[in-house]
Amino acid sequence: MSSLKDRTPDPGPSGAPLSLVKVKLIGEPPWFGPKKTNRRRDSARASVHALYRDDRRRPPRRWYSFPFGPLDHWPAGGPSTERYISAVLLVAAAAGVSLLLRQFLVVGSLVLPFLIAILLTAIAYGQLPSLLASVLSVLTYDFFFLPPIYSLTVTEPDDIVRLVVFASAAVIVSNLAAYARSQAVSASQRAEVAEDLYRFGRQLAGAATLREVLDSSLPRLTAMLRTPVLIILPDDGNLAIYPAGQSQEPTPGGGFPGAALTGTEFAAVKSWLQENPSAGAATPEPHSIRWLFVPMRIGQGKVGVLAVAQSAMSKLLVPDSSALLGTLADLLAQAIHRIDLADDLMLANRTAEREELHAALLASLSHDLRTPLSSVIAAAESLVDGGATPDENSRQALARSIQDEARRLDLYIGNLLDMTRLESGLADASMSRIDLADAVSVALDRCAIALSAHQVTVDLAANLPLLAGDEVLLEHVLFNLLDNATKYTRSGTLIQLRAYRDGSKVTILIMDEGDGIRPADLERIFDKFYRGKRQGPQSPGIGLGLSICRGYIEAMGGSITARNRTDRGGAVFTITLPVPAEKDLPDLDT
Amino acid sequence: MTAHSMPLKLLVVDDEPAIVRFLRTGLGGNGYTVLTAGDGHAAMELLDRDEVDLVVLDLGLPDMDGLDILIRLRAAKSATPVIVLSSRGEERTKVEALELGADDYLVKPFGMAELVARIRVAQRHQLMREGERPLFQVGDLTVDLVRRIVTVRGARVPLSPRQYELLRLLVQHAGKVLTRDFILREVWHSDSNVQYLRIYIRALRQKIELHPERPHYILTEIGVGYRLRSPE
Repeated sequence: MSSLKDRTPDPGPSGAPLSLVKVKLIGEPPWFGPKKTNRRRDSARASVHALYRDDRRRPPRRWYSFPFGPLDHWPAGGPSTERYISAVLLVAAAAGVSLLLRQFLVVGSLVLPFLIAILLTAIAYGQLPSLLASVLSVLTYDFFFLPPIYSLTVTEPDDIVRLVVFASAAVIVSNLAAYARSQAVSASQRAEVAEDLYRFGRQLAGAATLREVLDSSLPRLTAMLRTPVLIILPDDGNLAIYPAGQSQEPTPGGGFPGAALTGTEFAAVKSWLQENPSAGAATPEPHSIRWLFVPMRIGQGKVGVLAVAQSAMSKLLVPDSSALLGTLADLLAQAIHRIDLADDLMLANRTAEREELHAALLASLSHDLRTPLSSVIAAAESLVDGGATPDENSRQALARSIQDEARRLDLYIGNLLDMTRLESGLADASMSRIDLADAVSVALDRCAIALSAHQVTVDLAANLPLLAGDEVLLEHVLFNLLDNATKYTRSGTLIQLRAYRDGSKVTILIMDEGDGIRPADLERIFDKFYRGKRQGPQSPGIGLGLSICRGYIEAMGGSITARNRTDRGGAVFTITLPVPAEKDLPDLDT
Repeated sequence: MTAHSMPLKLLVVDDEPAIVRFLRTGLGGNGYTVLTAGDGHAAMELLDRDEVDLVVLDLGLPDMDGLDILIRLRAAKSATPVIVLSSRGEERTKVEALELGADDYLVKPFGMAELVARIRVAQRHQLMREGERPLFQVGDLTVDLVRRIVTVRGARVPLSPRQYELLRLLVQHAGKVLTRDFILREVWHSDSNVQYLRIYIRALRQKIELHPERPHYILTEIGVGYRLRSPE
């Protein structure tokens, strides 16, 4: 950045229209400081810092309006000349007015039209034309109105004083007016920059991914700076250069504009970005004639480099534009850093989630799987050892407990497998036309032993359409829900399964008459390994069933939710599945 | 059922010693002679050498895919019934095995009673291949295959020609699982549109079943197809 400051501005070919695209006020009042001849450069010098001069034709910026029209717009060919001519004409007009007023006013009052002309010149055309107007006014006033008339000589002491006072007033007025003018100009430009920066910042703040940051900032930067802009980020030992069209390979010959970095530039940026701050000699910030490299930093950390092209088309004019570029680079750095942090956080969350899952899995394996296994082993050992040769009844009971516990184990393992399959995305629902009745009947059959202690009613509407889905998955879901209902309700209570069509959806309800689900758990019971604190005679399980249900139903494009019954105690699980578009169905020939 | 003077000779192909031990004990206890093979090659040798009445085939073998044994067996024009043992969640493999000529399948873990029932169904179909019985009866359902008359609980059930075709196919293979594609090919002569089958099964159940939502006769083999309850 320091290199920029040392660089002197390129005045550019005189007469070319200058575009003050980005300006910055540095607060130096221009009272009687050194003046240049160019009004615009003058104002730039005083308080406005132009970033670059654009020789391309572009619509004039109306930065000051005057009753006469946009006064900063001059036809190409000689704006300064015309401004001076205008100054002369205004003075001439003032002289005319004064001539007309000569009969009615004393000589001393005739300076007023001239003062007005000087004021107008200063406001409209800046300081130097107004100085010219001042000199002309003093001379004209002396020539036409101070006796002896039509002579520049002054004889009366009164007139000498008058002339000196007039001259001083003219100079002061012209300076004051010119300063006011430049203030107005810079204020409006400052407001514009502030607004641009504000918009830029907001856009960056709204970006959630690196892609969005780049997509929103690159066009905006190019538009603001009117020159090609690259954002260079470290990328796993290499550099990632955006926009993506820019080749990472150094372009031989380095055609410009549009070309990316040359080999040297690439290497310089890379070594600067990869430099370890603790490692002795600091790598200098990258330099190039063609690119202005603005580092993007967060504290001591290097986020990347903003490269601004310095082309023949658009040259950087004023070194202090680095302040603006610095601000832009800071905004970018913050946005990119924020996204890096968000990514890190997400990764950390995901890792934590996975670790939590592993912990839950281990807990489940060690407890939920070993409990039934212990019963199996114990029962089998009693049978093998025989001991006091148990009677037929107790042998039967032992064998039955082995059977029951082993079935339970099989279910748990099945659920674990299903979950693993879901997690790894293998549970691809093979979608075809299925009949809910098929899945219902199989689930009821498979659950028959557990359901035998309950009353069960099944009510499938007669007009149920075929569904698009996987009957294996749907049956799993129904089985899990029915099995759950038996676990969390007392024997003898009613379990209802209803299904009906509801417009473009089929709704399946499974209702029980248990104690329901704690409101806080209604959503959490679908989490992996979460076991709701449902009160029930027995609540074995590993807390996977419902999350598998949700995974399967969602794979079929449906949804599943839990709520409590309002008519009485009990839980309701609601599955909705979309009704597929009807195709031509065969005649049932009933 | 046909009474066997000679015990049936079964070949169990499985590489899990525990399963083999369980099958040998269980099937032996049910009066079958049990041969065992721990891998595909041993199984092929036994099949070449011995007259085997039925094969119980595990699909996951150490040296080859169990389906290959099935393919070779059927390629050699052997009609020996094959019951495939599969793991849970392998519906596609089950369907593939059935399409390749397996007679039935069982999902591990399974009980001995289930296996024996399946063996009996497969065995009966083997024996019935020569001649269909004209009258089929299971529970309250009677199908007269000659006169094409279906009665349920004593009342005659009118069926459309295609509904009758579907039921007849199920009756011919009573107790055996039929894949959806097989049924579609046999009844519709195309396996393209599974929704026809769904709709016809639903209609058939409405006419035959007392509780269509909990069918007693036309059973769903989830993910695979349908099975008519066997008379036993």
